[in-house]
Amino acid sequence: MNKKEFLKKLKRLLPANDQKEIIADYEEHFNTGISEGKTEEEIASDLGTPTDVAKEFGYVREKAPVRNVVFAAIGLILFDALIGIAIVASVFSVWISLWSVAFSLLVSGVALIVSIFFTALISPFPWYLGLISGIALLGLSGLFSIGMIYVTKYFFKALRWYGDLHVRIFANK
Amino acid sequence: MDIQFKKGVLELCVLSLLEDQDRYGYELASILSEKVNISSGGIYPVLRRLKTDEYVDTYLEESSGGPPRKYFKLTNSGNKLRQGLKTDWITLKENISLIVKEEGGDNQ
Repeated sequence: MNKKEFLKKLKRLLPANDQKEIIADYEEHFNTGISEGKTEEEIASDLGTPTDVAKEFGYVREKAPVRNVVFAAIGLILFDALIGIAIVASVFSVWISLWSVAFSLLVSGVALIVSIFFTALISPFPWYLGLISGIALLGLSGLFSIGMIYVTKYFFKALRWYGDLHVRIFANK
Repeated sequence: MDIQFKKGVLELCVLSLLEDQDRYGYELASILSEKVNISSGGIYPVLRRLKTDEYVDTYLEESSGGPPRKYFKLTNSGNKLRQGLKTDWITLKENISLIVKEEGGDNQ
């Protein structure tokens, strides 16, 4: 385990009001060790596991008894079957539709610009109107895609959190 | 080792190391993990407890070519605690020696 991983894990085990000071102490410990020529991995293994450290501070919850874990796991499976999958599926469809909108805007923009060369298609309008609308559509598609990149990021973050939740509960962490 | 007992012993060790000079966390951790079989990570919870109870004080000092280090310094009440724990320790050690017959000590 390197410095970053150790501090990250330890931070997660500490309550918010104590995190800053304790993490600063361990960060200093790592930095001093590194300046004395030790590797981050050596220092981390000398420190013990983040869980042990947090336990010494009195901050680690004892592991839940097996019976509770079984109940939590059954509850989670039921939740998945009844609600979870439905929520994930609907959010997923919305996500797909929104990307389709961005893609359609792109296609129509390109089509409109290409159609300038076949003037018959937009004959009642002057060619530059087609060009301007085409560029406008492309711009709109670009903006939409940028927005969607953020949405995608959050979507996968949420999906990962939901997945991690399963790992945490099944592994009793 | 019993947790309470270990905590007491570690406190005595830390307070004793701070008797003559102020030290920083890494220094204390290195000395203790070398002499006593503890993981060096266990020293910071002890230091924090001692700080909360005002047995030690901390201050930051520049280190050569690095970020400032947090030094630990014994307070007056910390020194009193050290003396008390030391007396306890010596008494305990003598009493235990009487019970645990050390090698060569029991066949007069």
